[in-house]
Amino acid sequence: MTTSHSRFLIGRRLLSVLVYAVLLAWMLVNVTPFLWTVTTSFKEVKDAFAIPPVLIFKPTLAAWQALWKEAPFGKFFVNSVIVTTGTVAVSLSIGCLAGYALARYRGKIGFVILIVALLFRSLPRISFLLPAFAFARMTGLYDTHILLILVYVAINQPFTIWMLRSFFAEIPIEIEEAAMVDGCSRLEAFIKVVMPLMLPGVVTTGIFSMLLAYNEFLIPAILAASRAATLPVGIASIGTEDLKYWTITAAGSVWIALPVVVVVLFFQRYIIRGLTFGAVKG
Amino acid sequence: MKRHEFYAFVAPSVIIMVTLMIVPLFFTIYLSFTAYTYGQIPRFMGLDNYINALQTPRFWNSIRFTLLYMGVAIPIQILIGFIMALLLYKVKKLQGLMISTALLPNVVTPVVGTLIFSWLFQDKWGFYSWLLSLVGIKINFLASVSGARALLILHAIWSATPFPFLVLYAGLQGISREQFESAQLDGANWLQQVFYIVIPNLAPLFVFIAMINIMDAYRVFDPVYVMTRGGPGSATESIVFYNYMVAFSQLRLGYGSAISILTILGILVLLVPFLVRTYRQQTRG
Repeated sequence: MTTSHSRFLIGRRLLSVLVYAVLLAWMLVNVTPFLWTVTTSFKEVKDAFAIPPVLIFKPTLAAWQALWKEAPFGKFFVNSVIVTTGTVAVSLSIGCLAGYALARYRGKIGFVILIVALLFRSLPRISFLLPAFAFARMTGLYDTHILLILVYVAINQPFTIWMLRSFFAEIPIEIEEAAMVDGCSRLEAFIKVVMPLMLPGVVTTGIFSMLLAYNEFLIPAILAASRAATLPVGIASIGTEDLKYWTITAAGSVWIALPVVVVVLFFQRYIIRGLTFGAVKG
Repeated sequence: MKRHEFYAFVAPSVIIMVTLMIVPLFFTIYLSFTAYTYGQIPRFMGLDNYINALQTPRFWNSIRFTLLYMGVAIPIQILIGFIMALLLYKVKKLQGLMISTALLPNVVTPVVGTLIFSWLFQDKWGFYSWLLSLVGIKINFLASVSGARALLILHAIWSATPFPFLVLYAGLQGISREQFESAQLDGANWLQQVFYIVIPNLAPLFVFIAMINIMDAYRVFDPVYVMTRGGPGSATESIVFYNYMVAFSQLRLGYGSAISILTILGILVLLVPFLVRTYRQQTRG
């Protein structure tokens, strides 16, 4: 009895060691490209191409200095900041208005708007980009920040209004009714009473607007190839030409990934909520 | 809420969606029936662009590659994601760390994720290539057709497996402990619990994940552009990459529009099973 019991325990311990081993192995798979790139960005070119790869090397800031000197990286960065900030601001302001109305209005038209938005969410983006490209060329909006912001806002609206609507739906209607009885208009009640309760919804939706605008490549590659080009377009243009730029591209990659990593670490809960959003609603 | 208030509140959002998505889509449909290059006046061609596309081997090639890419990557993504979610659910530690690190490949800028992943597979000096060479496997991933395809699929698995993992792990939290406890009392082992409790409970999540992963993999562009540029030859051209080349490299906007419309029809066909399922559920409920 005791032997079989202890054998059972040893088996269990072995099993749990194995489970941890598998999980940690997968974690390594997930992070290795990141760790490797960070170390590469501090290597000299000869160390970066060493075979076998070197783990211990004399760190240098050469690639980081070159990144800001050689490539017009600063310009790409400024463009990304402008376009991302603009997209988040516009997306959230018009998205909150619409999301709130869709949560409160009981008419059929609200349902139609939501379903059409959902359909458009599933279409490949390139299908709206052809006319957008022709239109942008004709109007002179081609390669401008404002064009990118408008297109991102539009593409992001379906997700934004669905998400914000679900957050607004959780806020009891009595709160704003009380404010309106006290003499507030609908808009005043919305701004002064409802919005302060919406912080989690605004943060969650804002993070996803931010990620879209910051990460997108196809759209700026087509609509803003030079003056308004954002970081992904920039890194792709220096990334593939010449292998001697490899350490510089690595530094650029680290720089681009850094804000995303920070957001992941600090806002994990909100990102998970956004990612699993459709699943929970069925 | 009153009707006029509703219209005022939704107007900005609806106007921007209509002018930047719905109107352009109709314009794409119109252009698909014309010969059009930027700066010229569209010339009506009827169905010529469509006939042309359907007779072009390179178009079919892009469809075949996209289907291969989806068909291999998505089942593996869901399987690994599910296994990892089950394992993490069983253990008591690591939760925060596993979730943070899993999020990284999934939310990092795709161009950057593709670059840093592919570097590890560079011929000779890539870290993974070097590891493989230690055990006698020498593949120049970017030079051969099967190598380039494998690399894109491996990247898809790396970057998109965290999504099913996170969704299914969240789903596991929602299953009541009593279900497991009563199954254990009945003598069910772990595998039986997975098949009789976990999978039926999470079935809607599997459907949701499959739908999202299909939609995302179907429009794959960034990894193809960054890693292989569709090569060698046109072996790794995805549908959207081919569409991009036609429309923005060759500036054949009319033909490119026809490809876009065919692409839309394709995703609708792929989504039919999901729509039917949702409809059945609605009518049953």
